[in-house]
Amino acid sequence: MVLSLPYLLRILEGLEAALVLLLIGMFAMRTWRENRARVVLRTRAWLLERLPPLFDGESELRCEGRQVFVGGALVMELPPPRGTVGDAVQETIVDHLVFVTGELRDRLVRVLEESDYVSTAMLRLKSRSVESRVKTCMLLGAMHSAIAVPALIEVFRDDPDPFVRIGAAEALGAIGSEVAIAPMLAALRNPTRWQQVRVAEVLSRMGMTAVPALTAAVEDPDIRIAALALEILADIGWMSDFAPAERALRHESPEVRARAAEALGRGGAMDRVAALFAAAGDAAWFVRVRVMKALHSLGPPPADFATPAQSQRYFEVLEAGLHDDVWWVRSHAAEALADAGEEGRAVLSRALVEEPGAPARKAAVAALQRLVLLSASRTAARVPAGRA
Amino acid sequence: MIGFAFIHLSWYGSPAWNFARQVVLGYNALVFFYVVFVDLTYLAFTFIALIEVRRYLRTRDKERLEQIFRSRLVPPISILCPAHNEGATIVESVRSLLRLKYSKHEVVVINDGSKDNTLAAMIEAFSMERLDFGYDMTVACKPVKALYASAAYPKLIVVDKENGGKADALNAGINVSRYPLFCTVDADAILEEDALLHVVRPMLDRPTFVPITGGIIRAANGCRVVKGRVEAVGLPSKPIELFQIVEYMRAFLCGRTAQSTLNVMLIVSGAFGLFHKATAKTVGGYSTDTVGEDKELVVKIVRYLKENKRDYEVLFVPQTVCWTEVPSSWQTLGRQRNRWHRGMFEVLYKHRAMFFNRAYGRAGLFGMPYFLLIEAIGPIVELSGYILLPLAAILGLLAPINALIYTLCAVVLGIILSVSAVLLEEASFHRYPSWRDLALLNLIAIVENFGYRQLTLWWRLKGTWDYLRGQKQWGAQVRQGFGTAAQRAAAKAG
Repeated sequence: MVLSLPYLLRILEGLEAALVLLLIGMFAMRTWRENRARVVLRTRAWLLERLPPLFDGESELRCEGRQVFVGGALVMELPPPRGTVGDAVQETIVDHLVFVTGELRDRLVRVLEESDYVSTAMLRLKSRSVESRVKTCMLLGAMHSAIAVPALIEVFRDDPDPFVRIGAAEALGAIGSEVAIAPMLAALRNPTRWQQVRVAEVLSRMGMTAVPALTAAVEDPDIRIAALALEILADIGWMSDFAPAERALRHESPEVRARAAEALGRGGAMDRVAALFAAAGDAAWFVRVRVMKALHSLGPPPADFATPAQSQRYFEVLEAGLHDDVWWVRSHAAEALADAGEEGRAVLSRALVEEPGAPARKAAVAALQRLVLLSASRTAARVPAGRA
Repeated sequence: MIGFAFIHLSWYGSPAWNFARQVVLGYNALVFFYVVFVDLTYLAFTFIALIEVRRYLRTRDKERLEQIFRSRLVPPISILCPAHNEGATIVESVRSLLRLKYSKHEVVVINDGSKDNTLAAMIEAFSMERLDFGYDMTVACKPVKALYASAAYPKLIVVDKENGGKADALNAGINVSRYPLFCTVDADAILEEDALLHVVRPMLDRPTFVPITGGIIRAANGCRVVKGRVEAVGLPSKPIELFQIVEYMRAFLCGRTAQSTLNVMLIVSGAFGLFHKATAKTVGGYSTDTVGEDKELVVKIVRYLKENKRDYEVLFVPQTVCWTEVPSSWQTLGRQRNRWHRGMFEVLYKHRAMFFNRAYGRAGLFGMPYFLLIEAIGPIVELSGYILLPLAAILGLLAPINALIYTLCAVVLGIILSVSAVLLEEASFHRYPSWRDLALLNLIAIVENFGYRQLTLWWRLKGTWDYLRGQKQWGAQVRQGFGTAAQRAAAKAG
């Protein structure tokens, strides 16, 4: 019988023991954590005392195993790259790598490489645990060590777990190795959008290094690659050649056309403004939105750059956008006009005389109100305190 | 004595007596098995949560969050903050929302016909100006009276509308918001600065479609709040608030984490959740005919996705923290629990077609039955046990010592669950760094099983009764404002 006394007593004893164990475990964990924190703090302090000589770029840096010499003098002997102390050393140096650049960074990376910290971490890339492999990828990226690049490329290509592959891509991006660009561009073909976006993020962070390869990728027959390449180029905000993006404005996929418009706007392609004018009549509303945003980014064509007819056309296109059926298009056109100087505001003022409730009038009112508010706040910011 | 009187009744020993005896004993055994089943389920949740949280913590890194923060490829987020008579906390809450770290976000405050100074406080604090701009009216809601914006705070929009309830206010917010993701935040809540970065991460990381993510809700009572930011985490002095802290740990850290891991999560707290706007609009936004609108939207989205044969995950991100002021009076707390329970029944009834229906996958086979069998009818079974067990002892059907030890087993199991939640907190996020706080939390985890737990059961039972009577009231909420008691006293004096 379930409710019999001996049975119940045995259950109660078991539960009490479990509760006591839980409480002891919790307090033991707290004690362990505090002890560990003390060890980490001590190790950090020890290391921070010894790091400054390493930043003396004039003196020669030499490592013999874990012994670090600066200008011939032994500065420190690093602990083995494992355990709490090893982890604390690794964390402290990686923290410094976030803030230092150039030769100073190279010196710290050399210390990590020659004292086996990088190679020990690389061994963990073969770990059976996915979490461990992801964490190792991140760590290697933070270490900025070039010797980890081949291993990371291998992981990026072959690891069965997508999270690990993305971790490797991010590490490669952090190291900024050009060798990694080709496999990453190939990875843009991956069918899952999330992986594409993450690789695109990494490429975008690599900045100018990735621009030539990305410009070439705009012509890729695969729409996904072309669209993402355009998106990344727009994100970087610089293109070596606008022609592929201009061609992409006539692509059959509206998604590619929209991204091409955005890339031209963010890239400052003032000489391609005529192509954007043509795209302003696109059948897809979101392409028209991006065109309005691009025209907003570019601003009215300057006199030394465009013919009066082109300048005139700029305002005509935006005025047409102000009367578009879609709210988003109208809104962006109105914003662009509000920021386009006297002539733009004249177009908005014309819309104000339309009948109340007309969509173009609403968009113009909103844009002008925002403009008034903005200028009022700027004026307030200029007035000295107490006189506002 | 009553027992003595009973056993001298004339039907003692009769077939009817034996039958009654069997029924009472059988029911007690049933309650025993039910309690063991429920507690083991919670223990399993705690175990799963421990593994999941540790796994999550091992792979988190600040640099990746910084990358999300800087990226222009991540989708922008509209934060919807419905406010009804929230004059005491709204300005601080909005300040904290404006300060959030994210590449692109806007804050849409919806003043849902407040009778206090909510709108005036917003206009004054943020120099808001009435604006005339169009918006998309896809989801039905009560008329919007005016929209306000501020040049000094371009990310902020205030919607002033007629009172229609929280769900209606959120629908108005969905209409006015511009970005593809929206995040609902209660006006009495404070998000941690990196909350959006954490909560959006699964939407970027996962290969499957993630239409909804949620974060952990923690009690801000007792914490030092300065200018809409939790500066120091501490414990409040009132037992009622302390009980809720442990309760939230159990519900969020253990329950939601495990449910998310098993992909059976059907609740994302109304205080803080991130949604894919197009999907929410497709299902018609929030339902205004329920007091459990947050649960209902999640279930509605899950149902829609399964009916359209789309893979999805509804995920909980334990790292994402939303601090909220928990009720500090028994009356308010009772009303809140009553409402939650009514909301749950409404959702369960509205989507009853999902129960044990394979077409709805895990949500139908595990998620919905879990809410019915454990969350919804739990109070009925447990409270009836509290009545029938002493009755059985009084009637002489069960030896008093057996009844006592049986009760003790249930209580110790409850204590183990609460202590496990505190342990999980200690092993993972470690938010309460002082030894005093740790000891106090453990003490509360023990004490809450004597009285508080039974009281919450009573409120939930009352919620069941009110649901059956068709009550739809929200009940008034009393806000004290953020900060410790000393901070509030200083603010009042100064």
